[in-house]
Parts: sequence; C-alpha cells; structure tokens
Amino acid sequence: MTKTQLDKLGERIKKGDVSNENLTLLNEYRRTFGEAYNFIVFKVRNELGQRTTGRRAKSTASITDKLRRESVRLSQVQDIAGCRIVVSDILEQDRVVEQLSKLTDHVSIVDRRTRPSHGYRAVHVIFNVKGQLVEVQVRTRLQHLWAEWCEKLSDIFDPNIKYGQGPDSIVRSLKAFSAAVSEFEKLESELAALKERFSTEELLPEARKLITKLKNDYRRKKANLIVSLKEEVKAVSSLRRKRK
Amino acid sequence: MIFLIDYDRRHGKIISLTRFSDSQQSEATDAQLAIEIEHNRLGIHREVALLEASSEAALRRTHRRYFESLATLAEPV
Repeated sequence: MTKTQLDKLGERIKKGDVSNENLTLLNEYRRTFGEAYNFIVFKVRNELGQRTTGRRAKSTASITDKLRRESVRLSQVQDIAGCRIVVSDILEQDRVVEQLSKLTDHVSIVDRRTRPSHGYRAVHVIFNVKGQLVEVQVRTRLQHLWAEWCEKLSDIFDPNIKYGQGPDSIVRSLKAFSAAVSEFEKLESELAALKERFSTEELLPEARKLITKLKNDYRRKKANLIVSLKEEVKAVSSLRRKRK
Repeated sequence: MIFLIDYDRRHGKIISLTRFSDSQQSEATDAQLAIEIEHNRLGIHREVALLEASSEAALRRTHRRYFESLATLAEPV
C-alpha cells in the first residue's frame, strides 16, 4: 500500500466508513509492523533483560479514536505497534530509558514527565526500524497506576476523560493524582541522591534520620493516595448512578 | 504468549480472551480481523486488542484496565 492509499484509508475510517474491506486493509497494514515489532522486542528482552508486554497491533477502535481526535494521518500514527515496561521508580526509569536509547541508532525519546499529556506521565522511546515506528512505553509503577486509572475512567464513564475533558470533578482529581505522582518522583530522586552521597562512608546519624524521614514521608503519601483513590471510586459510582 | 481480547469499554469488561502460542502470530491476527468483521456485521462497538506477554500474569500487571474494576485498581500497589 502506498502512503497516499494508506492515508485515504485513514480518512475513510475517520469518517466512520469501517467496511469489511477497510478493516481488511487496515489489518494488512498492521501486519507489516510484525517484523519491526519482533526485532525491537527481541533486543529489549535479550540484550537488556527487560520483561515487556507488547501490543502487536493497535486495535481498530484505538486507531479510529486517534484519527478522529488528532489531526494526524494514518501514516503518521506512531504507536501502531509497541510494548510496555513497568519499573519500580523514576531512577530505574531513567536507567532503562538510557539503555533503550543505545539499543539502535534510530531512536527518539518523548519525556512526558517534563511535559505531561493531560496528566499522563511516562517516557516513550520510539524506534525507527526501516521506516516503521515501534514505541516502547516506560512507566514507573505509580505512573502506570495513573494511566490505568485514567483509561478505566475513560472506558466506563466518558472517553474524553483521557484527553483532559469530561466531568470537572474527575478532571480535577486526575490532575491532583498526576501532581501527586510528580511529588513521589521528586521524593524518589531525593532519596536516591542522599543514599548515593552517603554510600561510600558510614551513614552519619543525621543522614540516616533524613533518609528515614523521607521514606516515612513516601509511605504516608502513598497510603493517603490509596485512600483518596478509594474515595474517588465512591464518587465515580455515584456520578454514574446519577447519569443513568 | 499472544492474547486476543474482546473488550467492552462501556461496561469495563472482557467479553472473550483467546490465547495463542508465540508461533501463531498469523492466526492471532486473522482471529482479530474475524472478530472485528463480525462486530461490524452486528453493529457492535468493542475494542479488539492483540497483546503479547511472557505470561498471563505479566499481562494482567501491565494491562490491568482490561481485567480489573476501578475499585480493585485502587488497591495498594
């Protein structure tokens, strides 16, 4: 399929012309990413020892959403194929991203921690394999929780939520949740910097105290976050009942 | 392993989950298309996702939204 034919297919799908013929053409296009996907996933698993979970091909529903929402052509969609790595914290995230960036010569990085997308925080490493793009999402556990939370809310409540729209109360709480994740990242960095500073000598009592304080802070904030998420579940259930 | 998930977004529930071995990439892709065509025929709007993971447990960790409710997502991580 030429680029022009591909973009015309995208236009038809965008307009809602999801005929069997168009579905079959889209499926053929998705299949072409198989080799590039296998190449990257093999390298990530075998050279970096990372466990990945992959999406061999973006679903038609997700492609349609993207074409309708953004002014992109089908040939420009970057995440037809990709995989995901979930790591413990921001330091591990930085380490994995650095390793990924050295995996091939044709790679670009989108850091959604410095520029979150509607609250979404992660780092995406995009590989260009002979003209085909394969996206590797690297998320910390908390960034991942935010993303899953936001996706689920979008699924069951309003698909616009993940694009920063929808009921005010939900949009506000997602923003607050994302800001909290950012605070956790700062704490993780501070903690690591302190540990590194005192790693070669015996920890001074004051440093030890500081580290304990930061760790306690982290645990307390995490417990508070879980409590607020549980409250949010109740609020969302109530909103859904009202809508019905 | 390859997992083909037919997911009802509105109700937040999996309708079907089909497992394929790594050597069945082509069959899995064919099956994805077959479900999408069937949905099209019936006028059903659902997400048909084709995913891959070392195990189902790994998939359930990285793609929790398909498997869990909002309430269980809020459990401690």
